[in-house]
Amino acid sequence: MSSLLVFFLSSHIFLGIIAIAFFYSVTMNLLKREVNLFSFKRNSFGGLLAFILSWLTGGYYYVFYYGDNVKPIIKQGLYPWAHNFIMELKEHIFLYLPFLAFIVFIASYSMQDKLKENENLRKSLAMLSLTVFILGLLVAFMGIVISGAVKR
Amino acid sequence: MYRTFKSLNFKKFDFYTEYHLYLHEKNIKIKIMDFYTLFKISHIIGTVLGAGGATFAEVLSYQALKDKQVTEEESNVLKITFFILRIGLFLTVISGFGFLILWRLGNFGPEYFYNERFLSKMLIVAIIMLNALAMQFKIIPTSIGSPISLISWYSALILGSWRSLNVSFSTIILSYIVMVIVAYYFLNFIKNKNNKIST
Repeated sequence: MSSLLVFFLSSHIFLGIIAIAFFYSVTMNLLKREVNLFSFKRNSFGGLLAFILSWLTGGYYYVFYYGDNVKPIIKQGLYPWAHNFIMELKEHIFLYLPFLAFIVFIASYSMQDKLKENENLRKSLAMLSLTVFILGLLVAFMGIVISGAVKR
Repeated sequence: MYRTFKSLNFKKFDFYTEYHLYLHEKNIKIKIMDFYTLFKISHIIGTVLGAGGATFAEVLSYQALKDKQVTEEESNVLKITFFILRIGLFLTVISGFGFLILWRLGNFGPEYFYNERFLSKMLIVAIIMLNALAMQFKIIPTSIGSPISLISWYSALILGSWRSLNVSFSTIILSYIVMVIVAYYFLNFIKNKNNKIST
């Protein structure tokens, strides 16, 4: 594996974890009685940016390395389901995570005035952010399972 | 560090000793620190902050609730403690994934990734995060959330350090559940004792 691919794979993982941490923070903030708007905007933006960068770096690694070099090893190994099922599932969830993150980010700007008076809106946004966090966590665990199936 | 990272041929990489032998063979001098050591130090600091933060959060909240009133000062101290605890959690998770990257680049496979001690630790770390959210959402009361947080941090610490532990996933998780139940009754006992003294 070239050093660029090593860098992209590592960045994909670290950025994904940072994005999850941002959305954890957004969820916690939205659950407070008084939402810190600055923190809400900053963290949702940070989370979105990290998800997009993780998406791009992971996508590059997937297209230019995984398919030809890693997938055959997993499929020939003891745990072919790690690709056939887990990777397929991970791909699809991973594809729409930045879009969900984008909705939270847009809401942090467009709905900031309504957040204080409208508790239902705050709770709905907290649920959306929680969904992003839990899906992110799920994707991270699926990544661990897939990585575990690679053995030469 | 970047130069080392760039010049490594990760196909030859095989855990800590071989990693260092490889660096030695290729005459790669690490000026600052290698990644394994960096992740290890961060992981230890994160766990110490997490377990220490969880312990102090418990001690301070019981201290604060002795007079059934939380003053502003006590509330601020608790906020700082929770902040430290979250930093610990973040450091633990990010350095933990750092280890996973090294394992993945070395193609260590199922022996490492599907190891029962490791999987139990991952589940417990996930419980720490979800428990904090459940407490914030008020899905579970503090009386249940606190022992879960405390025991989870100590369990993660023990599982991380006790490398020779060779028991099944179910045994570890069952022991963890038992410990949470014991901690729940123990903390409630202290709370009731505090209430009796204050009345």
